[in-house]
Amino acid sequence: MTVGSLEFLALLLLASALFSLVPTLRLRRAFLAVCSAGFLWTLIPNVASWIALAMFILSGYAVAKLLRKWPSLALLWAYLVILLAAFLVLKKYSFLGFFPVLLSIPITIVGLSYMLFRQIHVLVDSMQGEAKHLTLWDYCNYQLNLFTLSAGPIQRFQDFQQSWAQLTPIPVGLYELSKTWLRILIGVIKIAAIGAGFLFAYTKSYSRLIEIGSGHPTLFVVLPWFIALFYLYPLYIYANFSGYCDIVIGGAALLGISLPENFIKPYLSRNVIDFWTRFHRTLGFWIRDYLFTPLYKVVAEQDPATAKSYAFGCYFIAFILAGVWHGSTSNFAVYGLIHGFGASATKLWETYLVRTRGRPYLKEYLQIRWVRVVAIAVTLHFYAFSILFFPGPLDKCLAPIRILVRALKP
Amino acid sequence: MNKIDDFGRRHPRLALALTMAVAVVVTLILLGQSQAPVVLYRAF
Repeated sequence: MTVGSLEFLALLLLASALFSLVPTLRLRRAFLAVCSAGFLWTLIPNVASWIALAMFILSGYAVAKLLRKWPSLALLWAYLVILLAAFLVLKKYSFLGFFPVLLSIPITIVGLSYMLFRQIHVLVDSMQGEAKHLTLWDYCNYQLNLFTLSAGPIQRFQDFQQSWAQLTPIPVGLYELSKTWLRILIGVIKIAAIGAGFLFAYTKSYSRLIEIGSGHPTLFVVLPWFIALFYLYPLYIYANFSGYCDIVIGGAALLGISLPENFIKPYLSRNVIDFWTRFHRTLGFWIRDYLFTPLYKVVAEQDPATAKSYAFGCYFIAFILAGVWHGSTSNFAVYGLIHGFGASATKLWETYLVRTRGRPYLKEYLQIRWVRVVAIAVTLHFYAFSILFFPGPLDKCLAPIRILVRALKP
Repeated sequence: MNKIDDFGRRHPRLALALTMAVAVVVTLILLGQSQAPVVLYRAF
């Protein structure tokens, strides 16, 4: 079953109506657990996948409990190495093609990437004493919650615990209920009609451009199709993913879970760092908290005098890893690399302004209206460029750029 | 948004009617499609 399908909506309607009738917290928890288990049942294809999923989650829980009792960086790293190795195998990363046996394992776990994020967060927070009262029942429900299972948002365990402690429907009253359902339904329209329309137009434009590119086209012939590609895919991604988030955030609220917002007007961001606090923001915050900050801390402690300059390297590493997380092909590494460059350039420009004009000027600068408009336009086009590397293998992504470059030559 | 919320709270049945109308549109859209909506980020 997929989020946004007719059966999902019908079952959500039924489940939310029944949920509001369940009298006690214990029964409401059991009810939500049954719903999550039922949803999971439709996604896991075979026994091997169930076993792999159980091992993935139970090992994470056991190590988190150990780290809570005996905080040890060595234990954390040892487990992370094993966990990441298992993740790479289960996600069938293409570089594992050297070991065909690994790629032939018949295991499919939907949402494994998001489980990995949640698992690492709980492990680190347990070691730091920030994830408290971790029980197996709570942890399984957190990891396998049907609303965050397949594609996020990446909810923090502490936030889940707050909802889990009460588990009462969040929208109260006829208007709030209607508003929540309206959000869910608009989410479906975003995915099924608007996003699907953009994807259809993108696919047609891509095919047409490739067809034109097989000859010797002029720039005037190539440019309109390239521009269409350039803008259509970002529009598709936004409609598709924000629509999905509308459905799950609304649906979770009906069953008492408050999920974090994942999109706040991302295409009005004024730089790449700002962008990642607005687009898939739970991933952006995860990258900041569990990749960038720890990396930066380590290098800054080694050499505090030049710590600031290391920040640029940390941006690159954090974004390349985040890029590679998106998929097993090299185009995602390029996508991450471009964003690492964008984040570093943002920081470099800010540092330059502070050094040459002082910090008070930076505040003034950020308030200038035309600067804001230019910054938003530049960031939007930077993102649209980076997303050219998103739709598939590198050769497929580079084909439109190659055709454009060829057409530019006299 | 606050103004819409105020209006909606004063006329909750109107909000419900709007929601029902959108639900009909969504049902028609989904019935008209050959496959369930695909969420891109599910693949990651």
